[in-house]
Amino acid sequence: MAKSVEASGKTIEQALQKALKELEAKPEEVDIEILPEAHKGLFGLFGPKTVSIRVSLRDRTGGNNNIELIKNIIDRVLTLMGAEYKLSTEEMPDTTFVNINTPGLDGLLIGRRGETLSSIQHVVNRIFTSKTGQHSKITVDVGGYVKRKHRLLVEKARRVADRVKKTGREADFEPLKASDRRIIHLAISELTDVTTYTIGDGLLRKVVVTPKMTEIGNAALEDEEDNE
Amino acid sequence: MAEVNKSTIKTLIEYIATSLVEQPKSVKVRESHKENYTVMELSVSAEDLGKVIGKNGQTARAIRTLVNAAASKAGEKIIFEIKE
Repeated sequence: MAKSVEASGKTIEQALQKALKELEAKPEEVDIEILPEAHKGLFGLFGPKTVSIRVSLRDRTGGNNNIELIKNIIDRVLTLMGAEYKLSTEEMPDTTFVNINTPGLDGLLIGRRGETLSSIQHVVNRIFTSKTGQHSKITVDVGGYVKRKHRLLVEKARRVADRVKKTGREADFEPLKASDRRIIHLAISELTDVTTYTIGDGLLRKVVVTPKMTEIGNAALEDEEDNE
Repeated sequence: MAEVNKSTIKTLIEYIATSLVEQPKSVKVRESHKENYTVMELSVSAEDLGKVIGKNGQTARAIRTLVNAAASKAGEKIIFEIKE
C-alpha cells in the first residue's frame, strides 16, 4: 500500500504543504483525498474551521498500469452496454479524470440528472478497488457533462458569496450530494470575506455560506436560516 | 455499432459481479421470462452479498441503473434483482 499521511489546515493548500513536507514529496507525486467534515458543534453552527486531507504518495512505477486497468474496466462496461466510444484520461491532483465521448449515446450514458453516469463511476471505482486493493478516486465524465456542471456550481457559489458579502447575511444552498458540496466549499475557500459550513443530515445536508465573523458576531448565527 | 441484447446485458451483470466478489465461481445470473419483461436474478455466495449490494445499497442501485440503460437501448424491459 502507498504511504499516506493525514494533515489539516485552514485551507487545503496549507494542509497539503504540511503533508508534502512530512512525505518529502512534490505535489505531482501524491493523491489528495479530502476527509469528510467533522460533525461537531450545535447544528454545525460552530462548524469546522479547518480542513483535513489524506495525502498518499503515488506508486512511482504503477501509475500507468492503473490507467490501463481503468481503461479496461470502462471498456468492458461500455461495450457490454452497447456503446461505441472514444476516451481520454487526465491525471489530476486528487482524481483520475476520464472523459468519454460517444457518437449519439451521450444522453443514454449520462441518464436522468446524471444518474447513469454516477452509476458508471461508482461501478468503475468499486471494480478498481476490488482488483487492486488500492483506494481509488476515478471521475468519469461523458461529453463534458461533469465539467459543465462543475463550472455552473462554481459560478453559483461565487454569486452567493458575493451576495453574502454585500448583505452580511447567511445564505444556504439546496441539499446537494457530497461531491457537489465539496465543489462549493473549495470554490469559497479561495475567497477572503466569507466561509462555509454544513448543516443537516443525510440527503438533507447542505452548505451554508456565512460572512467571516468575530466572536461577538456569532450571535447573529442564531437567527433563522435564510433561504436562497 | 456495438450490439446490446439480453445476452450482453447478462454478461454485463456477470462481469461486474465477478469483478467485485471473493468467490467469482459462485456468481450466477438466472434469467426468467415473463409476459413482457425479463427478470435477471444475480446470486453470489452469502459472504459476498455485501460486495454486490454495497453501502446503503449503492452498488446494487448502480448495477440496476446500468442494466436499465442498456435494456432501454436494446428495446427490452429487464428487472434486475439480487437473490438474498
